[in-house]
Amino acid sequence: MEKTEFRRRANIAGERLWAGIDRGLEEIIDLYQHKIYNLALRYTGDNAEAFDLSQEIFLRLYRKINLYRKNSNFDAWFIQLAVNTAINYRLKLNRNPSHLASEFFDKDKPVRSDKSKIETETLRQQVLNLLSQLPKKERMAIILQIWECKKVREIADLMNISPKGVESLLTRGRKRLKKMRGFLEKNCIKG
Amino acid sequence: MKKCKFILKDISQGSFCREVKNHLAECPACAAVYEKEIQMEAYLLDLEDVNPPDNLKLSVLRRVQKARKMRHLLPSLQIALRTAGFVLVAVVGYWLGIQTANGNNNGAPNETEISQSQTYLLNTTALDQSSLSEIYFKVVEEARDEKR
Repeated sequence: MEKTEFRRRANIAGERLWAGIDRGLEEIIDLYQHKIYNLALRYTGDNAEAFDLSQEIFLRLYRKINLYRKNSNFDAWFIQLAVNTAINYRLKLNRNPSHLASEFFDKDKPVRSDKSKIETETLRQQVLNLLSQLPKKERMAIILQIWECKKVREIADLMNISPKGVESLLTRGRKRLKKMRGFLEKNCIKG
Repeated sequence: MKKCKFILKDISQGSFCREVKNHLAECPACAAVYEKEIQMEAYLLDLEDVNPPDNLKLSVLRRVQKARKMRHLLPSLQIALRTAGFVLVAVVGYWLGIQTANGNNNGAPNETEISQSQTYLLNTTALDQSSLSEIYFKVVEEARDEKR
């Protein structure tokens, strides 16, 4: 579905929900469940929590729909709501992050051959776990930039912070991801 | 020439100058790190979308229904609580009224006690006022004497 068509349908569904028509919510779920679930999965790094967070986002939409301004961009409004819900969401599972980096970046594995395995579920889970160890806002900024293809200004609008703040969040987040691997210094024998 | 640890720092910060490139050509360990560094971004980008669970829509709709029920219940619950509060206040007031009428006032002063205490208070204040005025006049006179 094209972006404009998607937005048009989202606006119609949003206005229906706003008007109190039940079908509006179902339409919104149909349109957004894929997007919202993947956002939640990348944010939480866990299937069960992503499922719970997705429900929470839709429930919040139902509760806050009266704040939506008719004829405005429903997609932007809803994504902002989803981002804020995710940031305020409390993770229920306690994961032990210490072992993840070493698991992910096993020195014995050949560098390039790992890439071919990226689609395997284990590696996927490890990448997600690594991501989920970032602080909330840094994680969200990276998710929005990489997967939602948002620009710095758009991320700033979604997260209610300044563009400079977003830039520093992105830089810090990326640095942290790199540091998490922990093996950088160890790996270098020379010098 | 820069040492490995400085080169690694440059790589982790994303700055790749000529010096770094030259070093990478000579040092296979740093070159491997550099490759992995690039791979990190690739790993993130390769995280493809997954399909949401089939029951997501259904469970959202169920939770919304629950929330809707609660929304309907909440005002009636508030009304019930308010009514209960009013009834409680009325009962306590009525009970206190009966207690006073029966004379069983649990240590509260009766009318005679109140009038006695009022007279006592009036007398003591009068005394206090007269003694205060005496002191005042004395102080004023002393001050005048000192001036003279």
